[in-house]
Amino acid sequence: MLSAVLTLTAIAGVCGVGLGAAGRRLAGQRDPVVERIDELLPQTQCGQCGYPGCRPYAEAVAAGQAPVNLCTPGGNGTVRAIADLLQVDAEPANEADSGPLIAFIDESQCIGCTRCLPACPVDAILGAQRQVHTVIADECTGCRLCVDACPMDCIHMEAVEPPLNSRVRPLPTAQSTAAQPQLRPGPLRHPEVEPRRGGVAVSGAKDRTRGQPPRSLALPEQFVLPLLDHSGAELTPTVGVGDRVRRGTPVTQPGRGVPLHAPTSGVIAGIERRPIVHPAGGTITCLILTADGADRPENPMPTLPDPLRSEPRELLTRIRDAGIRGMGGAAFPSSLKLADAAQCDVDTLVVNGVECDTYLTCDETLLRERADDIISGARIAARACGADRILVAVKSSAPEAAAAAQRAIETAEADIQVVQVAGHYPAGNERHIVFPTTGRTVPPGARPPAVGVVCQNVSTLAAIHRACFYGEASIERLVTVTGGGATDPGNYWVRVGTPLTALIGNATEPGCRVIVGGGIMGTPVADREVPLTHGMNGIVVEAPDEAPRMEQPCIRCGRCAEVCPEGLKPLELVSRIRAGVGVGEPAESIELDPMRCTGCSSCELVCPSSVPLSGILGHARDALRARMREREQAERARRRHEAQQAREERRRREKEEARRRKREAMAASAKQDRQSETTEG
Amino acid sequence: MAAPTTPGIMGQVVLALLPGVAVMAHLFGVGVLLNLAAALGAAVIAEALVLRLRGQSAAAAILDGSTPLAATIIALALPPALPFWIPALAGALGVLLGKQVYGGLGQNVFNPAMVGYLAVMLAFPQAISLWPPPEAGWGASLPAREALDYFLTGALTPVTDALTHATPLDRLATQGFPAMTDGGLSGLLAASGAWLWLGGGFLLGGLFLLARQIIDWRLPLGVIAGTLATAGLLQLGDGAPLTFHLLTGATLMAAFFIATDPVTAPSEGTARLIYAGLIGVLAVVIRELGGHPDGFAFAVLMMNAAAPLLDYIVRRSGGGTA
Ligand code: SF4
Ligand code: SF4
Ligand code: SF4
Repeated sequence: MLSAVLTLTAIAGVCGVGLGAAGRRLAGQRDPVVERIDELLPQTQCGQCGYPGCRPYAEAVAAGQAPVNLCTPGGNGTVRAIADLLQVDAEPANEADSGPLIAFIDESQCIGCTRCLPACPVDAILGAQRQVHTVIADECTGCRLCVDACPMDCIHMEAVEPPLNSRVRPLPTAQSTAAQPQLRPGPLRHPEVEPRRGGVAVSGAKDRTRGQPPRSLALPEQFVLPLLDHSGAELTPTVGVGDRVRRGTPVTQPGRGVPLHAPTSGVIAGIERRPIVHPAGGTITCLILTADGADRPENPMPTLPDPLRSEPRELLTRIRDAGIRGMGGAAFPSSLKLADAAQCDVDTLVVNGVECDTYLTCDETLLRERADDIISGARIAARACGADRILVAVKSSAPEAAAAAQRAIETAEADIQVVQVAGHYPAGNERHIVFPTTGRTVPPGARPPAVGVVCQNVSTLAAIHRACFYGEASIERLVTVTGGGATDPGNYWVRVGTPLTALIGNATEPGCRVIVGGGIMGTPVADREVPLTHGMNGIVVEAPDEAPRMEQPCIRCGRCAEVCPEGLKPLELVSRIRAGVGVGEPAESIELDPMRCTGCSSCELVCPSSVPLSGILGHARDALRARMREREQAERARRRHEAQQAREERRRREKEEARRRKREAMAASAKQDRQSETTEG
Repeated sequence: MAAPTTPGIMGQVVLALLPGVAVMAHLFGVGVLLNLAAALGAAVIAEALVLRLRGQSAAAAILDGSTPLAATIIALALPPALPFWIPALAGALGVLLGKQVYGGLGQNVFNPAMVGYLAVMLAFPQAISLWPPPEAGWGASLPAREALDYFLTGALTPVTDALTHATPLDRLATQGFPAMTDGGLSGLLAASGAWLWLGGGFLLGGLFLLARQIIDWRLPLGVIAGTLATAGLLQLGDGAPLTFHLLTGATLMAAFFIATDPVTAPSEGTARLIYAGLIGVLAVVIRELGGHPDGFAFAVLMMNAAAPLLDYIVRRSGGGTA
């Protein structure tokens, strides 16, 4: 009896201590409430809440004098965030949440009255007396204050889709993935998976497409070219509807990245929003090109006399003008990557031929077919970034590819080594290929140039070769079409902008996915009309037995943490993210930082409960990125508003000053008058 | 190797428990199977009811395999002759108080099997201390008929007098080790011999799980090391020998099947070692110095509660397996 009491007391004691420690730890430090509310507000300073700006409204909410749902521009997201912060029930915002809005001025009606200029609290309207006014879209906060100020009623609000880099993919739940299996994120079901420390031994379905020569795809009738910058911003087209283009005609300004080129000859039939491949879905403005079937080429760019001896500057310019983007998946402009590598003084270029995905064979096929181009492209790229050593990394399970690379090196009489990499998935990841090839370790969170290495995918290098030797723009790539549901698996030469239907047809198995980008890291697509772009190395059509299993509860087995090559703790991260803890906040420790997750999905491959780990982590990354962007925007709006107020203040003071001076002058002259009167009198 | 799934993992653990079940049936008769049936039936019914109330799919949750596993562990921990309501209550309470109140599999803080076992142990201390004498031969000590009668009615018959047998651990708790050896060490070993068989059954299953990488080696290693270290220390006084502690009672079952439950163990490697080691330490301390015959249930639950704290401390001190 006594012992039972004592034991239970001991248990209670241990629990108590545990709870106490947890309580202290989770309490954390809180900023003053007003600051935190103010931070959540959009800083539009529009006054729609009935307070003279965001800060006063934040003070009123914190004091309990105002409900949390008065800020219209912030939308329901802001209401929820404030309600969460204050732990009150969230009543929805006053109006239906229509997403972000932006003011547009109908330029045909604007009379240039300048009345909207002072109405805008953030100086987002450009214009001058009797000139057509316009709104700087990036700065407009959607506050509507200018709408009423306009005497001509020519300002209206339009809904805009947020830019790609601030769209947040939905958080996958057991219910959502069961309801929409065709959109479930995550790798296909792999029959053979073994966890290893920092990786996964996984065998896949490469044999389905291995060893066949690549085939060409007939030109489709219509091409869709997303006007998308690498940063997620929109590119500005240089062609309009009705314009004729030829194969290789640049159709956009380079923007911050590289230009886009027409994949064939034809007519621009439209500029409209179309769905694209993106984890968060959505649409983006695209050029629609109707092919004329003649495939007439544009005049090629002048060939460089001897690319292997050209100036690095010249090479970088050519690589940019040819529109070359990373073809390993990231689609980051190669010219920027190489220029950045040159700045970091890299000494080694690693040719990445390690295709660690379990379904794709396009890189392997390209190495076998075009090893000469790849080696030549590698020498050009190395020259462009100043690397004096070139290593070709090939998977040890693809000996033919290694042999082809070796032959090409011998033909070119170049001083290049082939390294066979044996590691487990994700051995082909840029961060993880550096060690087995060079013996250098890329520090956590860093990129290879930090240790003097730049990696280039084989397809990218082949494109660089063609751009420099033949002046060809990058409009075509080798794509693996595979998966148990693919009718005609193989590797195809496909023009950029080709709709997926042209490659995989329309036949579907219910509940099965179409995945772009490989069997492990790919993105499921909802609409098969989406176009192929530079970074898409594979299209996988799933068969029923390849679909992921239904999710089960996490049993905290720890396998995910064991295999994560970035040293993260997916199990802890996922339970926090699903509970909404810390989502959109900077991470509190390295191993809980979703930004360090590369999305490699190793964790999900080994998870016995088929938890959609990579999708959950991706959601957290998107949310954090979007929140940062929002904060940045709010900060910018605040600064612009403050600048405007300071300017107004200065103007008022100057006016007052002038008035005072005038008064004084008048008083002085009156006095003088009086004085002269008296002297005269 | 094919990637294991959660039902697959649970199924393999149950499979690994079968040698233990077989040895136990061999030594004590069908009682253990009756217990298993009662605990499993009640646990599944309780889980289905709760899931229905929570508006969730009962089938998916029951098929994850964690409930059969908990029921099997409960049946192996209880004495192999009991009236049916005791194992049934243990199974139901284990699922309800040990798992579903926390939100189901993966959310629970305490090992469901140990919660169920401890609940009936505290509620029916008398019945829980009655073990038939171990005797090889599938019911030699307690024939199937009598076992079934007792199971159904709970009435003590002349045969069930046989149940008043004290296990070596009972004697350790009540008499202390020196008194136990009054009849000579050989006599003790003869009495314990049967228990060694049981330990062997669990060891076999445990090694299978280790080989299949279903369980983390740190956990059984920690439990065994903690048990041996504490027993060794206590031997400086008048504690029982190391082999005795290792091979009797629930030591090996706890080491391979209870402490290894990943849901209720810490997730950091170092924290797991500490966790498992302390389970061993606490269990032996309770055995030798406390009033309860076996301390593993208490030890496991106490360390379950401390698991998040251990993870936290290990991470804080930078010892996380990054
Ligand atoms: S954005 Fe406008 S409505 Fe929202 S808090 Fe600021 S001033 Fe008020
Ligand atoms: S997807 Fe992210 S968390 Fe998962 S293993 Fe890869 S890097 Fe780690
Ligand atoms: S998420 Fe999956 S792999 Fe990670 S601990 Fe949970 S069940 Fe295991």
